Amino acid sequence: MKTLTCSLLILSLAFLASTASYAQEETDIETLRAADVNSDGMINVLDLVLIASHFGEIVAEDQTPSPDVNGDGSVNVLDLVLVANHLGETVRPPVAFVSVDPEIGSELVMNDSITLTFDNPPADVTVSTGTATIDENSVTITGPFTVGDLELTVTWTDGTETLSYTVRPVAAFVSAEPESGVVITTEDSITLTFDHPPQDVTTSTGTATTDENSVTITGPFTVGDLELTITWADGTETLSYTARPVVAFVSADPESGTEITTNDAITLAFDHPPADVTVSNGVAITEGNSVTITGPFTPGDLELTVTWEDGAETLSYTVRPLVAFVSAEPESGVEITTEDSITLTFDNPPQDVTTTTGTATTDGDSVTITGPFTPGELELTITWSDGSLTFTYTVVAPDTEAPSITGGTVSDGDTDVDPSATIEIVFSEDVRGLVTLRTEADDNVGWITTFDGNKVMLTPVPGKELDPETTYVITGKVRDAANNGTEINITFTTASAYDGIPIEVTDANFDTVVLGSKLPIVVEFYTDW
Amino acid sequence: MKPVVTAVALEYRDTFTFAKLDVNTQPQKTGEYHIRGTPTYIVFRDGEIAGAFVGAMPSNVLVERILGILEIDEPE
Repeated sequence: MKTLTCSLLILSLAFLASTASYAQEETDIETLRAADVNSDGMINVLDLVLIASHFGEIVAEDQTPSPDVNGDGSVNVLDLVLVANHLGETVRPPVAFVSVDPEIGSELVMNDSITLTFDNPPADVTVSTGTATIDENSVTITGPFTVGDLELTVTWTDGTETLSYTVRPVAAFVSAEPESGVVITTEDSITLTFDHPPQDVTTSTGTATTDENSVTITGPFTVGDLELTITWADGTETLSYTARPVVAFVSADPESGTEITTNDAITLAFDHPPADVTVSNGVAITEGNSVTITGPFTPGDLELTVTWEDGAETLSYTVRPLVAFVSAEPESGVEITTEDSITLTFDNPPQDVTTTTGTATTDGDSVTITGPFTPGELELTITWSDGSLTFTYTVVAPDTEAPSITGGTVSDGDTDVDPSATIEIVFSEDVRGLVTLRTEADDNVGWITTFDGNKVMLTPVPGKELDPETTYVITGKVRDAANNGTEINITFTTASAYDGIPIEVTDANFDTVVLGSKLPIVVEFYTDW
Repeated sequence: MKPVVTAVALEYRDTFTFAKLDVNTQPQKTGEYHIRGTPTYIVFRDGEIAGAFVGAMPSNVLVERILGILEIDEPE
């Protein structure tokens, strides 16, 4: 019976509804949604049937679907009438906020957009900041937003949602150091500067480190062309470089800490050709992987700093003077004996002296080469730390024979020697030594002695004439080049000074002239009237 | 007489020496050798008197007397 009654009511109401005209706009949306009992978006007979099926019942407040359209607690004809009044109308479903991207509380940039998703297309959307664009179930809110805290209220037909964000500025690339396009080393770093701190920085090569407005990209990079793409939250920048190896110092020859001469060269080796080489002392010449530094350097301590584009190296040396040969005694080309020694003189003490023949002994600035040497031609090469020289000698057996007198103007025992003539003594070889002309009492007469090769000359000195018919002695010792010595002892008597003119004698000199005469003497006692 | 002595002295200078002493100015040796007249010739050899003779004479005689005292033959 209840079903029949309701059916009749439904039909009646349906008929009434078909003749009635209600504008949805005029009716509260909540009322319409209550009338759409089965929530299918349409108010139709099915809703009436549901009400009818519960007609007369008391319903709970939370019953779903609720046939108590007017919410008075019971299902009655008022509910049927309320539905009947809106039969045929479409009911827009309630629109609920589902999510927002980016999520609430996150950070935005000024130009970011915020997209809200609803479960149904929202209507009458308004926003407290920005511009809202509705697309189906989405609402996109675009700025630009003001940097700082953003409290964004979105209002739509069915609700309000407040979104909180922190708005940051857009970080724009400003510059790169070194700038794109240049040559860098594999170990260099590249610093990018932004107008605001960039976020979420990534790099295609190397490692990116962000510090405020800067991002430093560190390698090592691969040698060759380098295309470096930097990506951050707000953009992308591609930089191009040519990466070259870092030039590293390898070694120095001579090595640091050693002794060099003023004219030595120092060669530095690098693992790659260095560029922009400068030195604190000397002149640097770069060739391939090497740099040669030439002086002359000043004697003493040398601190040499070599700088190139990738680094600097300081080398320490002790600079000593270059040792130069001065002379040889005996000089090259002469004859020496097997037992002779050769003395070389240098301008500074030579070091590391070696000789091809004999034994070298260094003493200060001198080097003495001792034999014995082999008779014949001798080619003697002396090498020292700063040079080498070759000397030639003719080696003969040692001279052991003393010089002998072979001639001269006076011989031992001569009795008629001209007292006024220069005396010459000839020896068998060149001599040197000390020879004097003396009286029998061993007094030096004072004549001048000169040596000339194998001759010794005794030359009269005015006022020191020899007495006639007087015995004198030439005495001394001479030596040859081999130092063989010969004692000289030549005794002679000067000739008479008598020249054939009768000598005038007196009582005073009678005894000397007459009684001392070597020759027989005839005295004429005369009267000069 | 002087030219004779001079000539002999020069010619025989390598054999003997000729000296002369003025008896008027050198009385000591004049007295010591007992000179009584002039010219007097005394021949010394090795500091000793070898002989003596008196009187002027030609040079060849003078030479002969001296060489005779000295026992030297006339050189060729």
